[in-house]
Amino acid sequence: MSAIKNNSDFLFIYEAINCNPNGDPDQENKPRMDYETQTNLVTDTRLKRYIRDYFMNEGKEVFVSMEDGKKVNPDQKLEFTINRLLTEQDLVESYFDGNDEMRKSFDEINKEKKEKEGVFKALQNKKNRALNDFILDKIVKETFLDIRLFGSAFAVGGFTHAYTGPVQINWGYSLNKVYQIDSDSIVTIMNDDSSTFGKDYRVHYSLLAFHGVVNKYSAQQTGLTEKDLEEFRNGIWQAIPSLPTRSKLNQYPKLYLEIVYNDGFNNGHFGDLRDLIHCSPKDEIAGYKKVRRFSDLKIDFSKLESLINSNKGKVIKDVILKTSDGITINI
Amino acid sequence: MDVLSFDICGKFAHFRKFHANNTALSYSIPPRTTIIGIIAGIMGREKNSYYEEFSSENMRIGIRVVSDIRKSFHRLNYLMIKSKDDFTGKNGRVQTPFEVITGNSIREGKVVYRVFISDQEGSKSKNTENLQEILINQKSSYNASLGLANFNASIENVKFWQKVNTIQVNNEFVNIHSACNSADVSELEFLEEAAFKFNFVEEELLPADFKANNDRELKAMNRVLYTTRNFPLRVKLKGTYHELKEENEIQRIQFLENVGILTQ
Repeated sequence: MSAIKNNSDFLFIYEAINCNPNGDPDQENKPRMDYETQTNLVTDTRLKRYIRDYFMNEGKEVFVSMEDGKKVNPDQKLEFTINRLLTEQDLVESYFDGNDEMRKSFDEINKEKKEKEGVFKALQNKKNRALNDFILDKIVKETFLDIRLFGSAFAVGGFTHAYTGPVQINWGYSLNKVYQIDSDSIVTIMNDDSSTFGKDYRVHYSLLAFHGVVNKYSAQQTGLTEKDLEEFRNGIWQAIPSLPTRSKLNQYPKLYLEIVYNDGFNNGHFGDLRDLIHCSPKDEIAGYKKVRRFSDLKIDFSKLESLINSNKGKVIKDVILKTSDGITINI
Repeated sequence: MDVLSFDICGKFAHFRKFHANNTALSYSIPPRTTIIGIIAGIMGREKNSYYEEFSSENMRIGIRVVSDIRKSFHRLNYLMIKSKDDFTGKNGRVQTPFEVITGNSIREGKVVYRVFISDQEGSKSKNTENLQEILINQKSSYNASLGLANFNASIENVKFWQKVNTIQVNNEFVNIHSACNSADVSELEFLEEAAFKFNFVEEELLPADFKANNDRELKAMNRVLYTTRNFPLRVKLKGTYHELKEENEIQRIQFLENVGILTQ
């Protein structure tokens, strides 16, 4: 499979009801807030963790994960992967298929290596730079979906390379003003004579919006394919409700809209897509403080709709749209 | 001389101060080194490959704050890494204060900087022309961002100014719209009746050039004076500035000049 051929920008919206979308570890794990404007924030890393966890549950190869059920560091992970790939003769055959030069240097190393050490150890010699780059490149392109999407920095002896992710997601923020639930003490009972009060901070209702980009140039470096992107679109939609923990319950995706650009148009062509949505509390709801559910808000997509409709065919190659109940977009 | 200007806009920005260790402080405006990185990305250059070509000797860069900007702190939960085994998270995590720049309102506002570019006199490079060609004809490569790869940005309002007037002044008060070189300024003035009496002025030492050794080793700095509101600075200036004239606005700008080479 070859790398993707088009740039695209996407908008992802999910709702959080009576939960803590993303705690701020230095503020007693309160929901991240910009208090000046009552905006709830969620970092890109939180969202990517949902997606990685979902991939792992689906049995896909994820670099930022575990090996044999144990947490491992990048060195071990890479070693594990390389030893697994390059010790079985038939796998090696296909691995170096069409790359005789690399194959030759690999065979030499294999001959020279000491009886007891794995292939990985022997490869870590500085003089194998070209071969290692080739192997790392192949591992990324063929094995780890999360690196093809989000990139990663490798800093393992003999294998150093920084991959910038083709998929970049900005911090998410709430489209509505968000207020926290006042009552927030919980009791934990450990055993009969020691229980403590803990704090449990939550938001009443937060409608969170993310803007992200997929860049075809960065995709060539990590080998992101159309199929990977399909996995991503599915993952971002499925991941959040499929991993409910106590503080992350009651979060549901509302909208995923991806604008795929024609050749010659670039990320950010329409600016940040969140600027094209207007959200306000319904007239019968007395202000943002009283917003408790999705239906308490009025959301106006008309700017986004007219922009898409007037640019279809010319700038926009395709629009990928997923919505849940209560949202209609006329494009 | 010809000048190219464009606006770079986004919701969040962070320009890491390189001397801050645990706390990720941010400059209020993108340093010159950040701007050449953004330009190189748009032009499709590879990482670290353009330090010489886009250096102060070849390319002049000016910067203006177009939106009101505001800074706030958030804490990020980084892995505590002291040895290579800590990537598993077994050594716990460390909460790093992280400063972000936003518009006055995250929801309704945005961060907008205006970048001015011109080829240095006598330089053989045609960077301004090449970049204009790419921006006008929608041929950018990598996506632009504001400091961090995921703080996505868009490029708007691309303009090309031909035969720009250069004006030499000797200690006179002028309103300058871009960041100015501190060395040229002897006095600031705040006028009671002017709309911009509530100006916020900052002075900062910003990275300007990297050595061409692929290692991001700092070679030179800019000492600049700028405002974080969309108001001009009223300064007593000794030196040159440039006038970009339109029907309803005159922008007076300075390009960032080095305050001396740090290392050879």
